[in-house]
Amino acid sequence: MARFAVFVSAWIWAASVYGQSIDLEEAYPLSEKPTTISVTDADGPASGAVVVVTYRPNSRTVSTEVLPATDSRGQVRWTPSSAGIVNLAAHKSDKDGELIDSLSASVRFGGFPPSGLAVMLAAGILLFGGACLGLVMLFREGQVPAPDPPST
Amino acid sequence: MSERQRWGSKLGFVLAASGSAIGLGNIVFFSANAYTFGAGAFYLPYLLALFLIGIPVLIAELGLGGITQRGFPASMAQVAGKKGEFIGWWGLLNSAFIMMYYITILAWVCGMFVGAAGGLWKEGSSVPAFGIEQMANPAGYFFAMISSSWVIALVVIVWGLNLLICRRGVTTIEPVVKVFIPLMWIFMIILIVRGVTLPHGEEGVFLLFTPNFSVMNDPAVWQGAFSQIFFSLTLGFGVMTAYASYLPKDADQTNNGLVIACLNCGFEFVAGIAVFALLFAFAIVPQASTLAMMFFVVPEGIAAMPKGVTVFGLLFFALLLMAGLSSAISLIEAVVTAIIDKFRWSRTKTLIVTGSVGVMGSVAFAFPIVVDRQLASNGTVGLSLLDLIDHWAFSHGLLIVGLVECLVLGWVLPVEKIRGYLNARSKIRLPGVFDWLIKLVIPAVLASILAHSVWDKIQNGIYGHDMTLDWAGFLPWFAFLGWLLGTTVVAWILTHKEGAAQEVARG
Repeated sequence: MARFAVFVSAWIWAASVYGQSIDLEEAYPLSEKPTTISVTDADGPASGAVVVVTYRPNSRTVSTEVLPATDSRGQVRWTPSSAGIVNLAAHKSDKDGELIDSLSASVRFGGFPPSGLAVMLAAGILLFGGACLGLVMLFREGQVPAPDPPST
Repeated sequence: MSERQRWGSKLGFVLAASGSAIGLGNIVFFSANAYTFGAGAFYLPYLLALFLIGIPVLIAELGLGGITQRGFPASMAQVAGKKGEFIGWWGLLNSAFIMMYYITILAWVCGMFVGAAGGLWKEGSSVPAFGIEQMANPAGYFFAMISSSWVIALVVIVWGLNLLICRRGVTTIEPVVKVFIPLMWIFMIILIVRGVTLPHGEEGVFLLFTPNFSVMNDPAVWQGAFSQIFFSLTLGFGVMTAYASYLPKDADQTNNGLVIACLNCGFEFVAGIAVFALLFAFAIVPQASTLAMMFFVVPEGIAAMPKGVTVFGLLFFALLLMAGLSSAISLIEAVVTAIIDKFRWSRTKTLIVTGSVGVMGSVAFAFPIVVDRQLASNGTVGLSLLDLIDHWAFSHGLLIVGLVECLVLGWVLPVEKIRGYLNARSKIRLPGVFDWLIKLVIPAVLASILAHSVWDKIQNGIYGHDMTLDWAGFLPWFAFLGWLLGTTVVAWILTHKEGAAQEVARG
């Protein structure tokens, strides 16, 4: 496990080129609700661009989805298949084509999923509750007994 | 023999021990791990690891310190003679490596704190760094700082601060942790409130806890959870044994272990909420690296806040500084306790020697020479060395110590003796399964994690072989051999040097 490896080059160098962009209709799209992605290149709306969606990048649950090419207005409809942080990368002509621009977005759940609530409650009761209980026990017991007599 | 120091109160001990456990990793590394391993699904292996590995080993380490009233090497010497003492010193030398680079990281945190008070958070701010005319902050500020020599001064200052806190042992540590730990909780709660009140910040909490069970059959998830618990609770460092040795023999170590584990993991729980709220609100992709999370990812979120950026930035780095200091002093104290136990040196002499060697080591990890101008890897010699040594001393050394420690305590002491000792002093009675966890289950889990890592290296080459290091391409092997030979040879010398530990063992 490399806890301290930095590897930030891609992030630091990934700056948008002037006039090229990828935009979302909604800043925080909702899971399973269609939204529109607009791609613009230096000449205006990027027709025929391909957007690659990466769900939960940098995780073991990472998955990708390649959207159909953008229309003449440089737009494509996208229905997020799951909530969480996603990365949207627009490429010229195909998914391996030149990168036009990329964008990170948060896809909303639209409500606390029951499974998430269950995990939070279970973990919270065990961990946070345990910490509180431990503190209460600690204050009840008060000072430690007198030190042992020095060994001889 | 002079009377051993004592904690002034149980509260002081528990706060110090939980402060030791709650470090930089709790605040950011847990969140990074949770995200990497499927968020909510990570909690199941995490909780299992807590109860199957974390709490039993923690209680055993506290029990060892309680029974022997000695630091880690002397305790192991009492249990298993010279072989035990060697393992004790070997583990402690791994802790010493960690202590050195941990203080370097704290120096960087100090630097970021200074930056946070200045122009670090101004929108679109950038600085020249690594030959790049303008690198965007906060990464720009960080890389400019670690490649400049003023960071050496920060290392010396942080060392001075640590030695000041440790100057009279638990007598001076206790009042400091009594201020730091409650403040850390308060700061973290402020960050949570700010995080979940950001637009859609609460959805970050959903993201943290909603499970994705597709990862559960991935062994890496289980390995990640078991490693996280082991490292998070500061197991295998010798710290808990040293701290427990300053409690009276009849202290209730079982209850102490439970309280410390719950406080530590409870802190991770709340830190996860704060960090995930921030990440979701600003759509920031987490990275599975403590440094990246601390210095780029979370600061990027803070910089994007609509108001109070400087205040929350200072709060965040102050929180890191306090968490880091409360852990660093415990690492220093573990080393100091062991030396005093063995050689009967005065505390002042021990602190001077430890501090002198420690400063040199920390400066090496802060060495600001740039070897990777394109930042394909870690940038400077210091940070590359830190990454490499962390991989060996932390990710391997401590697991090896934990494995051998469990085998020694389980089969040589044996563990029934520890359980009897603990149960005689606690309202919470440890069941017989505790013995088998220490004897078989935990060693098997740790051995499998280590075996997986060795197999990975056989297949893919030594850690760091693919780093961009310019003229310093020798560093991966240098770090590995330096760690292996350094810890082994020095542990052998310390073990065979005549001292009080031998007297105790013979006694």
